[in-house]
Amino acid sequence: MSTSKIIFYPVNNGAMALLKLNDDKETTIMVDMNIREAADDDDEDEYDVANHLRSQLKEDDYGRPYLDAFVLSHNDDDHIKGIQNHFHLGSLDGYKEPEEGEKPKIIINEIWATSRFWKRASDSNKLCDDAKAFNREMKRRVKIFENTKKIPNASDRALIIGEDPDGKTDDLDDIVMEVGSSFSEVNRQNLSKKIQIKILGPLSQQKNEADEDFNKKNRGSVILLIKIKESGYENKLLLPGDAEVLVWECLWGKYKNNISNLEYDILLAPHHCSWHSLSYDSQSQCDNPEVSEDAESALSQAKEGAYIISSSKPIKNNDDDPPSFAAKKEYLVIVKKKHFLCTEEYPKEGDVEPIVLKLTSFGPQLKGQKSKSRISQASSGPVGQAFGHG
Amino acid sequence: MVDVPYWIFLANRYANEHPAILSVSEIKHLGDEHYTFTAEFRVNLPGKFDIIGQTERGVRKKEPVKFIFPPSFPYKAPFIYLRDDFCRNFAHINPSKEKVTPCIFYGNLNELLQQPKWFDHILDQMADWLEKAAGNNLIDYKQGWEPMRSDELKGEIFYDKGLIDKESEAPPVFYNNFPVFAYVFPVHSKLKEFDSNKHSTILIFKMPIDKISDNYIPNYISKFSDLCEFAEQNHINHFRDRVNRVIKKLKKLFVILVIRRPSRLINSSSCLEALNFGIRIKRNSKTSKIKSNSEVYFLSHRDVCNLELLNRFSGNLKKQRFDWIFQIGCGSLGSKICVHLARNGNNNFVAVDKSKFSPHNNARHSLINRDIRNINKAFLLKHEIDKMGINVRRCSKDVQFLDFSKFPQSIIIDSTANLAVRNYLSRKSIPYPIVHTSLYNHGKLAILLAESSERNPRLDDLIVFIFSECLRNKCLRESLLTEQAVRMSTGQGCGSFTTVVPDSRISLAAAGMSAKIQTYISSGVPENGEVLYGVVGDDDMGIRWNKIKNGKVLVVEPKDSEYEIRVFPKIAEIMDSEAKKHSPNETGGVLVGHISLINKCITISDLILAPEDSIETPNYFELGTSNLLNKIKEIEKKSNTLLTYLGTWHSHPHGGDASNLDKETKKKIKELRNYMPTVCLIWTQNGLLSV
Repeated sequence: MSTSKIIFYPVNNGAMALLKLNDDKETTIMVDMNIREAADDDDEDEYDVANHLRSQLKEDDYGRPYLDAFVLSHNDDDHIKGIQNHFHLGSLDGYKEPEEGEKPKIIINEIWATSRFWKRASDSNKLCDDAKAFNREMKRRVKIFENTKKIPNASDRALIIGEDPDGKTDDLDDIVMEVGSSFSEVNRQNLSKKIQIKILGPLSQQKNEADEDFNKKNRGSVILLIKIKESGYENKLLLPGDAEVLVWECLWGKYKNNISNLEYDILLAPHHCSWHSLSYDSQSQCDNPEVSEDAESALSQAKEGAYIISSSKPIKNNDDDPPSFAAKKEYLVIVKKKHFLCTEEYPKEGDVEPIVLKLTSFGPQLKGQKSKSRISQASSGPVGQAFGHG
Repeated sequence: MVDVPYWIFLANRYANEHPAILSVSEIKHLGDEHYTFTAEFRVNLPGKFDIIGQTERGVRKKEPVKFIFPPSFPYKAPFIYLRDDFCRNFAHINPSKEKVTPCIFYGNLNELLQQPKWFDHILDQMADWLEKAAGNNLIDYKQGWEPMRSDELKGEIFYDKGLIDKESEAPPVFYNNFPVFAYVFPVHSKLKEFDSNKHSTILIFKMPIDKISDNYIPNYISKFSDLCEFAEQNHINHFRDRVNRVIKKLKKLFVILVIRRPSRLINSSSCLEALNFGIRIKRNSKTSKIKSNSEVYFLSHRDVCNLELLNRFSGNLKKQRFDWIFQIGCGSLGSKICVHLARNGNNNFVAVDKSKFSPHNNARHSLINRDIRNINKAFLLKHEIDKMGINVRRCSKDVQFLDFSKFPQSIIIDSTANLAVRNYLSRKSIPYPIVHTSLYNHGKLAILLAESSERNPRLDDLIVFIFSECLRNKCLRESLLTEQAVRMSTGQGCGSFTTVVPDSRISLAAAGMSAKIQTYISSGVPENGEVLYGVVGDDDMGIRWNKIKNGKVLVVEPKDSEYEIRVFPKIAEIMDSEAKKHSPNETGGVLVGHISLINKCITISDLILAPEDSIETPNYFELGTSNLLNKIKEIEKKSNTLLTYLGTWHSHPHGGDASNLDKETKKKIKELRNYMPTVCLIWTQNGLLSV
């Protein structure tokens, strides 16, 4: 692989991005997933994201595909759907070989998530089955560390992003990554020559912030600024989950004198291009909704030639939110039209493919489209005979 | 209106429908059945260049690509040209002085065109190439660094690049006898030898170890000043001064600049790129310094055949465990095995064969020889293998005259199918493990036996394992113990005692055998030896190999006999289990196996349990006779008498050495056997004793 790349999958109003590095081990980090059953069904028109994902992953010595790391921004169903169907959860001893016709489940060597996995499901914290399964898996992995006081092996390892407000992370220093810190170790590999990951969020509860607001799932979103080095150039990816306006205002306050912490080559438009990442005002209920200047400033630190990706359904000129047409208009002030891409519109609505951005020594480069096989219907990968040796 | 061939029309349609192509021109007829069209590709530039419309090297958002289709399309791919002013400072551009022709596929483009996506494959590759050029990542470090392209090749230079990779870091290295051979292509004549190491001098300069050059530029060097500038840019200091110091009368000089790249080179494990130049030296008559305008020409490198190259191409990358490989028997089977092993890049062979190559040997020998003089087979084999740069010695004498002790750490391959050689190699004094290969039943049965490094089991044990297996395996028995050799006429009054077998069948066996032997050479011989036999299928298309269970044999100290007694592990186990089962009574039975008179060795491979009429008490055992004779006859028949009655064994569950009665019994058995070698064993808790 000549360059590192990031792939944004078309998963409707959900999120799923795979970062694949061009280091020796071709390290993979996936942020969120939304693998809907319709996308697994051959009879449905949804893009088969799981199939594409598998084609990008390496396999271990037993032929089992694996991710080096999976990051969950927050446990809403559109960010975690599909984990039970496609990923192995539990001890690796219990890995089941696939039945005929099934595909092997993907192993996650390392999970990064906030401390909210300890938070039980309730009326105010509704969790889908996949989110509950994810929380169980996090608890299992953290328990192994608690019992052994050693960093567990791959597939049993978890990192907690940010300290738990209730003190549950007090004795877990070795597996807690503080907000504001940076690191370069992925799946126990030191990749400091290739990648640096800065944790911008989740931010702690702000003064005058109501408990009810602070406890919302979106408010707990992980925000990462990932810098990927390529021949002297740093490609900066800002992946913000579903963080909303207050968080962006706070981040601007925190970093306005050091904007390199908010600069990006690629921004995943927060909350599927929601208006509420830019404004407190409701589009439908307010005659003249105003954009928060600080939030807008925080999200405007685009480098030359940057891309903004909306991981959402097609953006129409209506009152839907997310994705919000008004928010898109704001982003189009930041980047030029061809550099604002919507996952369910690329390359065209109704016939979508993942957006692949190569991270070159001159910044991100959109990977062009290849032809599709005109003869076979089944193939989305390489076609043809193996080349013989004569 | 040109009548466009269907395939050209279809290619044009594919281009029109391709997602990376913005527009396609009309098809033009160029004459001579050649057609062309130009497609304008959309190139996604990296973000910051997207705004200004082109990259720093001038790759544009829209790039025209011209396709010229030969008459043989679609069996041959079209020629592909970029615009003439397209930047040439990229890897993966084919050498050409006039046109810019991208190398879009790591393989044969004609073959790519035969795949189901047909012309789309080429368009995809072209789009991908342009995109990579735009991102300046045409060099895929995982695939490897592409060596410097020269649009004008003046010749080729042949040397072992491995020598350069291994050299110390101190530049320059001055060679008068560096093994190099170079050709320069004259303009209007055939390839002509220009220089060789007899007439030339070569200078090698290496970039300092702490420097790396990751700047890909094609060759632009045509005169001495260019070369000096390039050397300085690559941190090769004092280049001009060093070159000026070469012998004044020298008119031609080869220079190799060794540049360290950020990744290994394509198809190489080394990150050192060797750039090869020839200089036609012109000197300033006053200063005698080399003139700046002295012609410099680029030479492409070709590997010489050597061990490293053979290792690389055969995939045999493990270090050889044995210093020397003896190939005893250089006939049809031995020569094939030896050549396979040599092609794998093994080194230090000793070819041993005293026989001469006769014309009929051409029917199935790995070598071809039309020389009517009877040339020794070992000599011929050495001569051929030598050509690959492999060290081979030869011995044209009987194996008995070989002094193995002069060759440390060896493995000995016996492919003689000669019983005398086999017996000789079974001697204790042979210091190295033997691998035995032979063919039977018109080449339909192949046998491979391997000793362990301590020579237990030994070759003679392994042979008896095969004989013993014949008692139970009808197919093996019928193939191995049936006479097939016939005297074949090789001229009036001449004959060769050999079998009729096609060359292909011998190759089937030799291929598998050499693959197995390669694992021994690379990883060591098996700890417990190995017994394998292969059966060629009825259609002669394949061979199925089977393994016979074996193990280390138990050596029992003989008494009153020169004969060595060797007991198969399974027999020792059966005696142990029978003795314990019948304890506190004594028990026993008949010992069966092979006697080698020449090697003075008795090998016990089988036994017959005590017949029903035997008497078993705590202090006395009497071997019964019920049906015993029939059982022995059956064994002898099935093994062509290679296995036979050897004597008896009985247990002493309460311990104790041989009693007087035991000694008397042995004497009687010996008399009955006409004083042929006889063995009587006693089982005790502490092991086996010989009476």
